[in-house]
Amino acid sequence: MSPKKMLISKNGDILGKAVLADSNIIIASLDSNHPDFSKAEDLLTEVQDLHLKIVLTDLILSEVSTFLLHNSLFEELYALFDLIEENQLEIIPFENGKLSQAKEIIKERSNGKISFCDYYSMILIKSSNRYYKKAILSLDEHFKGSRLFIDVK
Amino acid sequence: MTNETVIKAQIYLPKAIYELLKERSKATGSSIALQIRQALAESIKEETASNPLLKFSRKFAKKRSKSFRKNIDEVVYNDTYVP
Repeated sequence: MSPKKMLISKNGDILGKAVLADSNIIIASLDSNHPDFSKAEDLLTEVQDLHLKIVLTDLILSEVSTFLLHNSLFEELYALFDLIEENQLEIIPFENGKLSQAKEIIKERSNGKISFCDYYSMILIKSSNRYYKKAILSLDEHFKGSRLFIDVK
Repeated sequence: MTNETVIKAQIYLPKAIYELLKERSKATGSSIALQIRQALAESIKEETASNPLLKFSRKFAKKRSKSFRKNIDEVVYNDTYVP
């Protein structure tokens, strides 16, 4: 275990569990000038130290890819694609069956500021025991309200 | 066995593997179930020994311009970006 302060509390069975990464943590981890760069690096390191499997939804992949394209970062984009093609990074495909849950959660929480991608991440981790502590690896404040956010403080 | 939650599962093994595990069990005193659990745990640990996104970050992280720090939601959902 890294000597750094534990960012994720170590409770319950961990082996075989996955963590869903949000797009902002990937983007922050690419910019050493980013105010959240160290947090992103620490969280990604801790995920590795705990042997958690990091996964993305196809919607998050789309957000990250769009951001990289917008910044003309083709090398980074292709390297991300390579990780997926080489099965190093798992992408969770969208399931139509989760749309009824989407309606429920949107009715409950809609404030015009949460993207469908974020709603879908919430639904996904709530509906499966695969995810560690039912948490999302994110820097977004709105995940705190849903109690799905991994506290990075 | 540790305090972990365990689930009873019935599995089919190829005869050769079963015989090998049985022999090892006699030699080491480890039950067949324990050997299987340990092998699976090792396999999962190996699979997760390296975080691909950390590798990605370490390869590409550098000082980016201020425009890179634009919120991703702004770029993806509110910006004038046209594909």
